[in-house]
Amino acid sequence: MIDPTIRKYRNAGKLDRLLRTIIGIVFIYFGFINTALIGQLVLTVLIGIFGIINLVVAVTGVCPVYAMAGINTCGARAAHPR
Amino acid sequence: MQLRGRLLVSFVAFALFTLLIFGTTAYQIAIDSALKREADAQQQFVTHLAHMMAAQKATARWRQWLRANNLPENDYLLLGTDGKGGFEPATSLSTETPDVREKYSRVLPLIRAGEDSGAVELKNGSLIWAAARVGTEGYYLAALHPPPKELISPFKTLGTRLVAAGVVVVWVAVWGALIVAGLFVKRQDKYNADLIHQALHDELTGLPKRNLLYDRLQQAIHQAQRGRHHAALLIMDLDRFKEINDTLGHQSGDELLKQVGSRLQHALRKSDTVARLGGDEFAILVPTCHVEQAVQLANKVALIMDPPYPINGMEVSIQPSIGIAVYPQHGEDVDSLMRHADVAMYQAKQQGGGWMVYTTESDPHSLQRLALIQDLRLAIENENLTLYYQPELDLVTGNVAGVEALARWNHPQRGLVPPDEFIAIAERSGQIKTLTALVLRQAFQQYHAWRRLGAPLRISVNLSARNLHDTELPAYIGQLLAAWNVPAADIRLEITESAMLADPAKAKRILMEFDAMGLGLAIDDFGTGYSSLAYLKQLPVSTIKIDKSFVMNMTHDADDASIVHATIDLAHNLGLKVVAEGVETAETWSALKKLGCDHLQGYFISRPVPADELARWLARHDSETGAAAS
Repeated sequence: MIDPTIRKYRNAGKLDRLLRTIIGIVFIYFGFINTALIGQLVLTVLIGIFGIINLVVAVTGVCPVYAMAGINTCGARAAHPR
Repeated sequence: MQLRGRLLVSFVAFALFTLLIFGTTAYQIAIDSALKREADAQQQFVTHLAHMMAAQKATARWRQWLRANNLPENDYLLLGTDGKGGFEPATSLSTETPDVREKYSRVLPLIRAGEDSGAVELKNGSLIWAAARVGTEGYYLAALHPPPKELISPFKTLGTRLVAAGVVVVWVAVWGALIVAGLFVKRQDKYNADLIHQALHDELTGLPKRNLLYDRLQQAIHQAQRGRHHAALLIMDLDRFKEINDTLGHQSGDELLKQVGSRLQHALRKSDTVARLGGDEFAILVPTCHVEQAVQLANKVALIMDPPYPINGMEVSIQPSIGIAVYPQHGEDVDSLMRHADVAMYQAKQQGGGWMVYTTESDPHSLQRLALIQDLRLAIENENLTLYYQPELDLVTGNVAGVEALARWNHPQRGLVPPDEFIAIAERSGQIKTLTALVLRQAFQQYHAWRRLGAPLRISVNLSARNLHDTELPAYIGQLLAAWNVPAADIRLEITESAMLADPAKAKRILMEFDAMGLGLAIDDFGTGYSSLAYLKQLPVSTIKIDKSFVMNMTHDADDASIVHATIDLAHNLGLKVVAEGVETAETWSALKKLGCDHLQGYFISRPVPADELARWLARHDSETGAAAS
């Protein structure tokens, strides 16, 4: 499904990606669809951006912040595909 | 990860703290502005009422008027002038309820202060108040109402925004903590890696140190064991590096080591390890390599080391001695491979450079060698060493000026052991002190024997470099002098130039002691050690012996001849006597005579001979010179 070169950079595990999918959808809802709830332009845009970022991470499984911090939530099996 | 956890907690705590401050401030601002709006609205309403009241002149019966207009009378206060420019309640407070009294007491000071609206805190909660002048009679009408419900809980509008802002801020804080922790850990890792690198690598050349080499050697041995292949260890030493260090200075020596290190590194494969063992010793580990390949490599190393090294504008040449030990035939563990490569390296050095593969015969610790060490110990104990004597002639008078005592060891099985070999064994096995003591004892005995025959000869005894570290030696010689009643001037100690250069300060100290005792002192093998004349001048020596390598060739090598010439002149200028060693031909004899050399020694005069043979030689010599004289 995903370009295999990305696989070696993958650092977000299954549960991580599931949570990020939920958070991403919720945030995009508040950031771009139901903007009246927050009702403040800067905040809605920020929340929306966070939603997009989370959704991207959920789809690719690659989190740049994790990479910088040296975190990997893939678990032992996923971290060593061999 | 501890650091990450702490950073997360502190970043999030900071974010929440900031959020709390901004949240409460925002809350306060929201309430304040709502209150202001409410108070303004109330003010308009009260102004309107006050106009109506003034128009209907209802101040005197204001309560009835309020009731008539369907306004709750307890929510309103009427204030009159007190005649001094201030205000007072328009009603007798003693008849009012405590509730109304409280309202008066709170609002009165505010109106006196000139305010016309705002919020007041009462016992039963806060109220919004507003006041307006009633006509021109100096009355004031004030209204007090509880604030509307949405003002009491403004979170309805503020809440979602605060939560959204909180999410954003905390999220960013988490990012920040993770990134900072990541950067910090990376820096720490780099620092640790640097420390490890420092611990394992030589500062000067950047090459691995001994400890890292041991580790890699261990690994190479394991791999060779598993893969059933060979691994080679080469230990290399730079010949005469010490002299370069002494003559050109340590900085030049360091520079040379650096260049040697980089040449080695460039010449070898990445999988090989080049290490600096300390000083001028390098090691090369080749994990997969048999003996023939190791020899090829040694040749290659010798080749790349050959071109001169540019150092401080000079061209310095240096030759390596390389010792080769190969796993498994020359050793199956780190220690034995290191030791055996070292042995082979010394062997190569003794042969004058090049390379040498380890063999058990050359190993000083092989069984054969161990037996020899034991035999030497016994020989010294049982005084089985004999002294040979080589005469030294005075070139002017033709008389024998003295003899040099040379130890000879006749091994019961092996026959005569070369002196170089057994002296080296004595030095390495710590027997040099007893060996020197024995030689001295025998020399004194011989002196005594000759004295009884009537003609004692001055005897020269050679000292090893190790003897210069023996602080008891002067006292021992003093005892012998006293015991045998020998004049100190008849005993001469000979020390090689290189032995003195090994530790000049110590050599000078002990030589001073010998000199104070009145012993003769000579520098042996002069010309091989690169000592400076400035240094020589400080030493209490009386004689220098020119090394035989210069003397032997002086008749057909102009360079050697001029060296001998210059040495004789310089020595004479310093007030030193010169002995030429290795005189083997009549031409050399006459050449030296022409140069004004003082004494001669060599096969042309006599080889070293036992004492009884020397007696015969002396008799013959005396008759010859006697005949020549008459």
